[in-house]
Amino acid sequence: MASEAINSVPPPEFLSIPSKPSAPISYVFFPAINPQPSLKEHLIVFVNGLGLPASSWLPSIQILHGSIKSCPAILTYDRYGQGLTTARDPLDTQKALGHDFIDVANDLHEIITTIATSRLGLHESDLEEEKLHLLLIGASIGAPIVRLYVQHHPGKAAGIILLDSNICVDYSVVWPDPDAPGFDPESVISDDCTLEQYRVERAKLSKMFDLKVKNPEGLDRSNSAVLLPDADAPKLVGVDGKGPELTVVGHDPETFTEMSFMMMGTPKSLSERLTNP
Amino acid sequence: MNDRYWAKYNEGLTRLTSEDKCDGVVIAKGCGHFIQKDNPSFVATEVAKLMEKLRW
Repeated sequence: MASEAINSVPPPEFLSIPSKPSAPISYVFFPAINPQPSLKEHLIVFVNGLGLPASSWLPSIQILHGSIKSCPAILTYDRYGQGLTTARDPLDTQKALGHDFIDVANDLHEIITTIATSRLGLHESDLEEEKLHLLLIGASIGAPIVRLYVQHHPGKAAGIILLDSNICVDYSVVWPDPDAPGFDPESVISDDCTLEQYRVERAKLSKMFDLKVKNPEGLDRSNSAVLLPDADAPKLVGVDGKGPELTVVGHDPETFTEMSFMMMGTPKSLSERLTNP
Repeated sequence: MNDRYWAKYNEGLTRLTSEDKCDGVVIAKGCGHFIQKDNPSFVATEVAKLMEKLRW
């Protein structure tokens, strides 16, 4: 059965959520393989970042399915304006800056509820009674989205994996302002970077990644530092009122430094000194 | 200011749950920021490991 699953990838489908019935969301539902008898329903949900759509999870899911005998149902989906979801978030016409992380976390709740009732045979009341246990995987800004979802919906997450979480802060905060009083040029100058170069690189990264910068899907990140000011708080509450099993994954600092240099020309010393630590 | 570099931030994230529910930061060897793209096997392995912890 596992080998069949490797060969057959379910086609993307569309669902609509109760609060935004006119805006269909693309998703892929991978049914459970040899499900183990359990009093609870299990669902694995992958939450993408900004840079990669839902389809980016497929290789991982295929490898997972090929490596284990039994696997719960899996859900991937594209947010509004991303990947196969061409609909824009209806809130974008109502909110000046467009939809934010909280709106996306609310959508995620409605998506999970819709899938639980339509594909897992649960009733909405079952969800209140903690009959659905989730394993949530968030990459990049998917990580803060997962955190906000779990904060607002305690009692559902059994496990969480955060893959190189977005740090919800401006590069221009992490990289010191060369015009600020007390700035020490020695903290940025290296064999591969002059002060002038530093100014250029800092402006470039800030223009690409700062929280107020617009992105193609129209997700407003400008309040994310306010929504999640701390890495270690608030504490997450999972099933049975306990903390969920948590895996925190970080990028390989050497690879990140190399890739930032290759793709954006960021001097390696700056990634090493300012971004990675 | 300047106390939220990436590795330090990830360390902070490990404290979001009870102490016995997180084993510390795992570095995805050879991966940049896009981990599922750079090493899908790594992601599959981490999911399988967590499922085992959950006895799923």
